[in-house]
Amino acid sequence: MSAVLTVEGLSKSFGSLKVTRDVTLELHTGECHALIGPNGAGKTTLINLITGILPAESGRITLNGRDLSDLPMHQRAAAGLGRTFQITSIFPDFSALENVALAAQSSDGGGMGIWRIAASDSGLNAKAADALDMIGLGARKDARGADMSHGEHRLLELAMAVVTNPDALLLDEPMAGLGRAESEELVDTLRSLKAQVPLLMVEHDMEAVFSMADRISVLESGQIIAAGTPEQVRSDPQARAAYLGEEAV
Amino acid sequence: MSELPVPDLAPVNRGPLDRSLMIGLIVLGLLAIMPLLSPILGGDYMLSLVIKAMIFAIAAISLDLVLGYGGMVSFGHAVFLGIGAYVTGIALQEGVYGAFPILALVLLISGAFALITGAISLRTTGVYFIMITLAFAQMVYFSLTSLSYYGGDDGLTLWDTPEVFGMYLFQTGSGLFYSTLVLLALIWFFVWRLAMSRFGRVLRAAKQNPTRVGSLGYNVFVYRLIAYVISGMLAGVAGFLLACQAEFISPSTTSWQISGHLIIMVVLGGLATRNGPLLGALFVVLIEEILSQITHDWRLIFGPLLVLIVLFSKGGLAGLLKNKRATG
Ligand SMILES: Nc1ncnc2c1ncn2[C@@H]1O[C@H](COP(=O)(O)OP(=O)(O)OP(=O)(O)O)[C@@H](O)[C@H]1O
Ligand SMILES: [Mg+2]
Repeated sequence: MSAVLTVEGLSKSFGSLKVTRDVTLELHTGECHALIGPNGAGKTTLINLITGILPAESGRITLNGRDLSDLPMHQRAAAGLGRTFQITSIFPDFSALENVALAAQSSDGGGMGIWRIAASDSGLNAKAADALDMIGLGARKDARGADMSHGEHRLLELAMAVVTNPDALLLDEPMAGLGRAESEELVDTLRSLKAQVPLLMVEHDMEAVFSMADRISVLESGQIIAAGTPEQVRSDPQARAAYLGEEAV
Repeated sequence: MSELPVPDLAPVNRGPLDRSLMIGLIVLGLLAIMPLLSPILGGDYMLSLVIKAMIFAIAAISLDLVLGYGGMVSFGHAVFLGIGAYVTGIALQEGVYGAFPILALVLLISGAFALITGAISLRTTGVYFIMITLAFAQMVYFSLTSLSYYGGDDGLTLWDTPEVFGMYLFQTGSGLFYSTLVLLALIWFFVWRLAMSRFGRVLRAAKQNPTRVGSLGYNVFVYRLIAYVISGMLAGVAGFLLACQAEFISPSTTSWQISGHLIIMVVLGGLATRNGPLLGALFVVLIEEILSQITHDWRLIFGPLLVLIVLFSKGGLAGLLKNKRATG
């Protein structure tokens, strides 16, 4: 198991509030690494620091051995760091297909073509349609982003992230707001996805986490207080006290 | 997998796009026969009014690239009209008569100005972007008023027009009319292709959600800057034509009123639509002229008229002409 993504000593404060304290973690090939913790623990902030939306105060981020710490967000993404957002972040005026095709073109020829009509680029469209099919949104490819349901938005987010073929994929609460059946389907999708690309997944749905995570890190007040296999974390007294409480049986 | 036959994956877009292409071609076709009709429509006066409308259409189309497709509210776009006009006027004054060298200078200088001011303004967004683009335009306005060698405040009358291999294609009359129409048609077609290209797709996406575009690996700043530079260069071409038509250059071309006018044309015609800025510019220039002939207080009619059109047509004038099916 080699580390694809490593995070070392990452720190960040908002004013006097320390939201990320000396966080170190690794994401290995083929694994789903879950990041759990109570509301406000700093999970989203950590993802934002890794992807470069927020500047970190200290720490180092490497992807496949390449130091990304000083790169802006778009260069980290281009280097192979994919993500989804906790709060749905799509393009409401575009169709589902165009949302994914926009993502696809970033790793397939780029965005600098100025003459060919992008919407009739059959290579891109086929790639986007494949990603939508794989995620289970194939039938909705012509729907406008704004007209899709919350659950469909969550899936669309994922299709956009997957189609770029990232080397590491950071998922911020992919199950949030999904119904039971939808969640179960998504767990299956993610389970097959992790063979393709390692997943660092923030998630509150403990059932999903314990059923699919290979490793779990518990974040509380910006600090990792426990990490290990699901069994280790389940029996860790600190982790139980911080978050799991009665939920994990 | 790539061997699979790929059916037409975007059939929903086909109809309305073809329709907008047809509408645009009809409008350009109608413009093309104007010189033939001009004797019954008011002669040279009418012709020069239509030329002016077409010049503003070029400026409005280029503004739509940043305002409509890119979502950047440039409130100083008339500055590029002014730069185009002054480069043309000064070149003629200094003995450069060739239309191609002058146009090359216009593109170069308006592009360079857009590159420098854009690189600064695009660090900001929202109201700050509006204010800073306005500030740059005002700066140029005051610089031009103090350019006493080329007329200063009063502007400068031009005694020559640019030539193409000895032909005066940009001299008032049907020569200028058709040169302007050809440039308008080219720019109308080019900006739409650009907006629908991979580049335009990134630009349109960044208008909706710039953070997401960045997280997909695109440098939003660079895309916006390129759009801003292209837009500035095209508006510079409109400035070139304006100087040829008026045979006069004046600092007032860069005034904020003209910038505001361009915004009205684009919004009224329909932001980010193929024909919106074209229709908006023709409409505004012609209706203003007609209203001002009828009454001195034409602004009292024009204001409410604008409000009504914006309120009752989704997507401006272009929206009114659009297939109902296309919106459903
Ligand atoms: N831009 C910001 N400025 C100031 N404080 C912030 C900012 N973003 C987040 N915070 C604060 O930092 C803390 C961590 O927030 P974060 O969103 O990372 O938590 P989280 O673990 O993702 O929570 P949740 O499970 O609710 O999504 C919170 O107390 C939050 O209020
Ligand atoms: Mg969060």
